[in-house]
Amino acid sequence: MDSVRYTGCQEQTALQAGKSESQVEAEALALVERAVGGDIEAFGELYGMYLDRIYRYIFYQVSDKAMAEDLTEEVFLKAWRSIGKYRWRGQPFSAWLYRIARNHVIDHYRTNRQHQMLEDNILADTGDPEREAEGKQTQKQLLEAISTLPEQQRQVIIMKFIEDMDNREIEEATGKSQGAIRILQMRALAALRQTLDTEVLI
Amino acid sequence: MRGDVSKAFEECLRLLKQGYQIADCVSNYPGMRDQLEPLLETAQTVSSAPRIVPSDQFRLESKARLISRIRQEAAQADMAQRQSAPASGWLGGVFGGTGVLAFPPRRLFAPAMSVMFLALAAVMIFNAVLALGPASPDLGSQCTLSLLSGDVEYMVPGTASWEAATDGMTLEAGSRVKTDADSKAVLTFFEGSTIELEPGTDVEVEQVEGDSAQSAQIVLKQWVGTTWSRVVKKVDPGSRYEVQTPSAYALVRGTEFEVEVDDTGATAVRTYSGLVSVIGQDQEVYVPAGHQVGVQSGQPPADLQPVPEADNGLVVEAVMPAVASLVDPSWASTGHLPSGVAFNQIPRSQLDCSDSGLQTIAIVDPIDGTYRLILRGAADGTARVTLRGIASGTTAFELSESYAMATGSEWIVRIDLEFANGRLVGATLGDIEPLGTQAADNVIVAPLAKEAATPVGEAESEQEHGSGSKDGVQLTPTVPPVTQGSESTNTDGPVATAGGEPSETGAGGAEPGGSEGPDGPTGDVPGLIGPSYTVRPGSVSSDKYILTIVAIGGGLVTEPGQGVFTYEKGAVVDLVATPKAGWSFYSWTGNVEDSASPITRITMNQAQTVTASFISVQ
Repeated sequence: MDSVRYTGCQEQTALQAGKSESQVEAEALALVERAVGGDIEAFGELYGMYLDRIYRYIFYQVSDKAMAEDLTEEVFLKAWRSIGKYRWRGQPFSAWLYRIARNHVIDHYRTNRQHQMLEDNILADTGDPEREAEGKQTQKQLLEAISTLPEQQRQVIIMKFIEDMDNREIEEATGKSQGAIRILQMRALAALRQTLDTEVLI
Repeated sequence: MRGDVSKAFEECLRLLKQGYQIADCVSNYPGMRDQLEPLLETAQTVSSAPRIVPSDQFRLESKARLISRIRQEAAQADMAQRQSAPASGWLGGVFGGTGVLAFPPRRLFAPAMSVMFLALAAVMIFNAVLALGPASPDLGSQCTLSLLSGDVEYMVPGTASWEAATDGMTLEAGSRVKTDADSKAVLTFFEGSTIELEPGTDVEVEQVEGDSAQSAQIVLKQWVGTTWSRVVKKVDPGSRYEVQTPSAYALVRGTEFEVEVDDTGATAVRTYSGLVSVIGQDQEVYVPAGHQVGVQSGQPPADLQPVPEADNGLVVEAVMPAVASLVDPSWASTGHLPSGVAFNQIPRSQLDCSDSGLQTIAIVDPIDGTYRLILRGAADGTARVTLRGIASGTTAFELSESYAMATGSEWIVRIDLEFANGRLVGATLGDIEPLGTQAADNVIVAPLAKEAATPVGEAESEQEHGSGSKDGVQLTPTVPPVTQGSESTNTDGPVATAGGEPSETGAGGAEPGGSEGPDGPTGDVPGLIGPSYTVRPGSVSSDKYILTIVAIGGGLVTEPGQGVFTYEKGAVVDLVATPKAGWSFYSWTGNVEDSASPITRITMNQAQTVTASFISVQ
């Protein structure tokens, strides 16, 4: 499933090299093992594998490029600090990273809660200059719409439709049951539909 | 029935991913169509949002920064453990309560140290075994120590005793070097970066890694004293050069900066070119050129301040056909070679070269003693040299002299400075003498200069320059000076506008003071001084471009040679880098087709500079 989503962007994931999801996961787990043993280089490779996904996830939460960059680095630093506690439970390593990212963003909002006006210059790159102008407009509307969602709905929408995680991964990352995730996503989509409808985006 | 709708919705999402249309999906659930359709449309809209990716700059820099922070924290844990004895109270203030001990340590401790931390030993050894893996020879795992003056001591990893250092010795990662109150030393790394240890400095080489296939990782711990780093700009974004101190660490790529650590561990970082990131207590400050920042133990970096102006200055200006360099009383040198290579080993000195060939060497706070000006003839003609002394911001004196230069000739002029109450008040220019008779003064031409390169004629006859280059490109054996060459219209091919025969223009032709002790030449020194190529390539005419070719380390660019060449616009130039024995080609910088291959090509669509780097494999 991931491979469907990631072939169209610039991500430096192993998926681009034609590896299957399970191969990638096995590779990630081998790197995690080394990182748990203190191998910083291995952790650096994990960083390269998951940077884009974690960055994008955070960006959709904070709607600010510089902030997303800072938080992304902090998330990986936190991940390194607690990698000794990581236990493989049949879920992708990414789900564990997303959980750290989710908690970190929530902490960030607790301490820095303020309304963020979305300006074009804070929007992130799409890696596609030709579509940049058009993309930024869509991105801005979407970001604004997503930012109005309640926190739990926002998490689920980003993980499910931006990050393309399946419900099991979202369950692992958020601690919500899959039933609750299904309900949250539908509520969120209904709310987004209403917001975006008024902007004639759909 | 909400549950049914949500399940139907999930099923529809699954079908959409398989390429089905919304209409196909909802046709399976006719009773829920009105509910499903708008939600699926919205889901598609969100899913098809532009793919957001981190900026290239962030992608390139963040990994290096993160890894650096992780290493720093691991190193802090390491240092905190080593220094947790009561005598090192300042470290407790710096590192206490940061939780860094939770980090997996990377290295095995020296036996003497591990005794202090028995409780942690089992965990550390376990981690270290996992982390280290099988040992593999690392081409760049060493650095060279050069003694500039006085007695210098070193300590090898795993021991606790200081030994007398010898000039030219190589040191492995984990070694420590200490200068006393009267001594100075330079560490030269395999890729050309150097760190000069001023008197009273104690530095540990924490990490030196890299070879032709991977990036350079240089990490130093500065316990006390003052250092001057000159860092070769790295091609690989994963490369780094880092100086850690008890209160901060400085992370750079391609710059010159000074780090001063006092007895309390307080750190001052001054940047003279480029940009230095200074991190203390997890707070990062960027220090641009001309600025400094202080970090007290246990504190984040203070506010940026401009570097205070120096009391005294010495400015030497020389014009072509002379190519000038200046050697200070401690045998550090700054200047150019006819090949265009620039080197700078005098702390805080500035080096510049204009398009017209005017070279300026500025020494900040010159020291009392004899400076030596080296002049090399790039062509026949008269060269004017001007010496200007600056005290308290005003010109204290100015001396000028004209010298007759012949191609390939090398000369030395002594400059004795006069000081009064700490102010530079005057200078005396000695007679000009041939450099060859001055060998006892250790102003030497390094070994490579004596090595023959591919003869000009051969390079010429072998040259093929891709398809359609109808003008062809021929090496012209004449060697006009830069000033003439840049105005010449007779530039059918690559004209060596400076530098003469390629055999005289090897990177080894530099006379970096740091690699020569007072006792004379020290033989081959890996990583001769790095590429601050201040000979600026410029456009000769609208359809011709200058290509400046230089090399660092033990090797030569044998095709088309080294120096400054002029090509027709669009010409494709073959480049061949040839290492000497015991050296290996490392990489090209510049806009070449394949920076990792010793044989590559460059297209002349603009004026440009390429650099071949070689590393020692001995």
